[in-house]
Amino acid sequence: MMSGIAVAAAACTGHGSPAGTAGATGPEKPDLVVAVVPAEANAGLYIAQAEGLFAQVGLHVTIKPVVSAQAVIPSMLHGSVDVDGGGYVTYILAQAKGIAKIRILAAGFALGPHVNEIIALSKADIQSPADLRGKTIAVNQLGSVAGDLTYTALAPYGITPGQVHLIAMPFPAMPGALAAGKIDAAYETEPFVTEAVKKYGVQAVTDLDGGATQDFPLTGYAVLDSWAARYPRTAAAFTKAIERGNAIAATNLAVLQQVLSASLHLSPNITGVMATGTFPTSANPVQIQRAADLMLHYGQLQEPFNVNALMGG
Amino acid sequence: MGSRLALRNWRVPWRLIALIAIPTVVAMGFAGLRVAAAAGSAANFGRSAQLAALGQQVTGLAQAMEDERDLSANFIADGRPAADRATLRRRYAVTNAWAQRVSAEMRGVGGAFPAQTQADAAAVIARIADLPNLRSYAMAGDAPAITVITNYTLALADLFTFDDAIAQQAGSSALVGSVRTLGSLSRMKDQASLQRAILEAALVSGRFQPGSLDALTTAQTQEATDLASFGTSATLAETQALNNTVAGRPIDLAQAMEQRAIVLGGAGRTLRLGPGANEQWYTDMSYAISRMRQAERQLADAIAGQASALHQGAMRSLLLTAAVAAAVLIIVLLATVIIARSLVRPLRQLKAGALEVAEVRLPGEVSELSTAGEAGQSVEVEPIGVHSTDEIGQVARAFDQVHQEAVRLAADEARLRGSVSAMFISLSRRSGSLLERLLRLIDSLELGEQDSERLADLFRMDHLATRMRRNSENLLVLAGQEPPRRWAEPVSLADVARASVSEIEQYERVVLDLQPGLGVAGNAVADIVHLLAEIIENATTFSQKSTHVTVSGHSLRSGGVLINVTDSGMGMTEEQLAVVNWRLENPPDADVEVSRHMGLFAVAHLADRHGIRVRLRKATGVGLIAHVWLPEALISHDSKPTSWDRVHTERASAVIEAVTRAARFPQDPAAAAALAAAPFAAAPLAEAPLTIAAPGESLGATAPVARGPATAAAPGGAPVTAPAPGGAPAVTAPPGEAPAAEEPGTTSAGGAPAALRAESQQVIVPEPRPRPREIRLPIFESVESDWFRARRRPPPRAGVPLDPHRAAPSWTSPSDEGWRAAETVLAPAVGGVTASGLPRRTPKANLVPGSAGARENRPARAADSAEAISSRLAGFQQGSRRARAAARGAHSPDEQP
Repeated sequence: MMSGIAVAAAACTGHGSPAGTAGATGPEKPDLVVAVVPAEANAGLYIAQAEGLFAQVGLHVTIKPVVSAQAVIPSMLHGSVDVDGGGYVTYILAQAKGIAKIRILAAGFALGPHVNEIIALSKADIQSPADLRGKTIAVNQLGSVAGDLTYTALAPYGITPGQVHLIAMPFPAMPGALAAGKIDAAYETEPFVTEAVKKYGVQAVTDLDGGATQDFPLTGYAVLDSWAARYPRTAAAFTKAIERGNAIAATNLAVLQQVLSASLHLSPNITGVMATGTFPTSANPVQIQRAADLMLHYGQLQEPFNVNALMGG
Repeated sequence: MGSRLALRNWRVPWRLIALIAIPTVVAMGFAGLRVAAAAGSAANFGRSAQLAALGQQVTGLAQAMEDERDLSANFIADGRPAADRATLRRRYAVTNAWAQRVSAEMRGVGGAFPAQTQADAAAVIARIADLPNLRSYAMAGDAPAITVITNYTLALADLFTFDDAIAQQAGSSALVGSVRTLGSLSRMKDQASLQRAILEAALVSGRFQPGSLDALTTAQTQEATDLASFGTSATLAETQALNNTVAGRPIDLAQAMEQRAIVLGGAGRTLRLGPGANEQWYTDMSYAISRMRQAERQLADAIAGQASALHQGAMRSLLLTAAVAAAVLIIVLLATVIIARSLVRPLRQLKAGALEVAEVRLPGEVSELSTAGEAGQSVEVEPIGVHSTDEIGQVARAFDQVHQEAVRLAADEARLRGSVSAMFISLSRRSGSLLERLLRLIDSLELGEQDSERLADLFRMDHLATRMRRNSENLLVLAGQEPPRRWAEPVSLADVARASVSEIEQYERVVLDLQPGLGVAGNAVADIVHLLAEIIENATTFSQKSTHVTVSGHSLRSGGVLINVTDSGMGMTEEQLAVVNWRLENPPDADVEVSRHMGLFAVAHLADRHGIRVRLRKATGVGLIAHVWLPEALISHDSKPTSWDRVHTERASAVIEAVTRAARFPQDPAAAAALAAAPFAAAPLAEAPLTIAAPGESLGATAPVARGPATAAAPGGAPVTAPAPGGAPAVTAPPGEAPAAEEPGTTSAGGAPAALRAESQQVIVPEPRPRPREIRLPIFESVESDWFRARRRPPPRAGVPLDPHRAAPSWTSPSDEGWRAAETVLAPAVGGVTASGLPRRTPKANLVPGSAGARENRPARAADSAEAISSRLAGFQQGSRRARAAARGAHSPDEQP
């Protein structure tokens, strides 16, 4: 439904001249600040920026890199950031806990084959998830989707959350920690998986994109609900630009690699072999609901959460 | 010209049609190919749409069979409990309904479809027919679930194969991709369903049957493969749609349970996943399958819509192609017709205009020019009604130039002709006036001439001059000039004829026989005189000198007067006659030919001028007859019938002249010749006693006087001759004898000739020619009656000393007394009767007073010496011989002029 609105809005604004869009049909707030943690997940945003898709809809977007997604929602509430490019789990929690009323504008990233993997040193005797029982596993953030995904991946092997030990660690630090033996395994994402494989000879224990978490929705672009209500045309224009950027990311590998290498400062021999995830072209409640259901399953939510509350529904 | 079929003989429209025929046929051929291709494409898309619709049904059947299979597996795993049979049968009924629908539609896959498609359809129908067999394995017996599942799966494979056939018909790559996507999705769903069946059976029985775990993992792998395959062929939107549709917590749970089962099965452990795990599994998996089915149905619908749209597009394209082809053809034909008309119409106008110019306008203009003469110098031709600037228009302008040039030439010719005519007229007038003067001169010479020889020469000159004048007048006719002489009043036909005769050379051969009482309208007199003169001269010229030319005339009951001029000449051939008659009826313009046949030309023109008709035809014997018909308009009947036959008088006058000539010019061979021909003249005289009587009558003279003296008395007219000394010639001359005519000039006493001469002098001297044209021979003048003369010239000049003898009775003249005295002749003084009873004449008793008085003064006749007499006789003899010789010569056939 959201995408429908976006497309309709785009039809009104997308092809207007910049001068014309400044009026009744143009974005109310052309200058946007988008805060993201620089990662492959935000490739759609980078592409939209690089390809001028924002300019096409009359937006001027400033991408503000942040180290952690946690501080973005307060910034939005403060008004220094317009759009958050973060995980659905964050939004659901913020909404569920009443921190902020969130409106998801567009989908950002979903799991793809070999994008997020649980890795371990190949010389370690961890051949299967079944071998992770009782081991220490590093995730980028405790209480986030990373833990849930890890638990889900271990569940078929009869490993319950209590049978593993999760510690928090930034993605870039994980390969080194693995090599140093500080951790047994790590929930790692691209491009660090590729770097770690190359640098430390790690191997994937399991790919999180499979089974119950196949194509699991990870990130999206959200604003405050009040903001969306105040700038409906701006929100629609932003949605349109992001969806176009995601479509390019999903279909045009060359552009994707080029943008990733430019935005994330990666060398081509990394971007050339790294796995690329799924870039959904629409924020779909059915998918996002999986995240809420998973959070509920692992106790992050105490009661069922209907993600339609995040979709403006 | 060549064959009628030769290209150059084709009509212009046909040539244009031939010109466009080949391109049109080629264009039609290509258009036909295009239309056929469009029709084929449309038919292809139509079949594709049909297959797509069928494919929708087939996916439904597949879903039903999958459900049936999975339920059957569950049923078998449960140990075929009797209670579940009803549930299974209800499932069968659902499947049967789908199967029936699909079978019915599958039979519509006929011969138009590719053989492979037909084979696939046949396979589907066969699979449907096999359903009872499959079910028999499930319902009864000991067949393990996995076997039944495999059987169903094999049957389902043929259904998915059929779905692929939709793509084989489709010409659209998008449709092919969609169909492939659909196939991947269907197979993926089937694999999911298969997993549902296998794991359900395993969960029910608490363990994996042999091969079941492998089948499950294979199905799982196959599902992933199908998903990958779907991803390669599906569009981003389709992929997104599938992702958004087939997602949710139940699916995630089912996935987790399956992973757990596989892990447990792989470890060889029993499947204990908690209470109601199999129901949970079946429900979650059914949810997943139903989501897939939803996506599949959407895709199948999209494909059907796509195929339908393609079909409609192809149909539109077909219609458009056909319409464009037809429109182009029509436009080409219309353009050809228009261009052909634009070519043909001016060509036809040009042709019509050219023909009109050639047949109507040019002749009209030429004749107008030739009649108008100088007036038509700047004739502007009206251009042909083709005003275009193309070649046809240029041809029209060229033709206009030709036309203009022709008209100019005609104008030039008309001008030339006009100048020639003017030249003729000028020459003719000039010579005419000269001739008039010459004639007057000759007349005056004749009057004063005593020498008979010279007088004869003068007469000849007179004649020649007259003929020259006629030639000159012919020139005038040739130049189209009106005659200079006109009469206001009608002139009797006899006078006209006589005037004509007087204009020719051999007048003495002409015999007139004209109905009295006919007159000719004054304005035509001169022309008719001229016309008759030409005809009569022609008749005399082309006949022997010894023959007569008869001029007879009488009025016709049907109107008009017919004058026949008959000669006994050598005549003409039919061809010549035809030519001459044609010329007479169609007066030619003046040219060289005309100058050769001037007479004919003049006749034709004169006749044309007055509506007179002239025709020549062969006489019954030899010679020709010229018919001259004078229309009624030229005739007047009011002229009084003459009391005497002037025709005969004319003839008499001719004889008289001959006699006179012979008398006057004894040495004149012409005179002698005339005398030699005397018989012809004498004979008529003999039979014309009335001739002489006539004047007598009119003068009140008694008939006997006239009758008595007969010929000899004739020359002078009765009253005049009576006083001739002795009157012997008259008496002694045997009436009707030719030699008698000679006597007055030869043997008789000189009184008669003298009297004659005197008389002729008397006649001529006081007669000034009122109209120079009217030349009269002296003797002719002398015998012309007074009344006739009076009619012609109503106001007689009373003061003029006319010839006393000719004074009209109604006028007083000095000789009236003489005439009265002459009446005494009616009662002659008779000096008694001889013994034989004859009356005895009393000398001088019957003299008219004064008539013989002059003789007293005359020199004695005896003055003529014997030598003179002898020489005169010798001369006569000589002349007689010459005349005979001439007469012989005249008999020679040399009649050519």
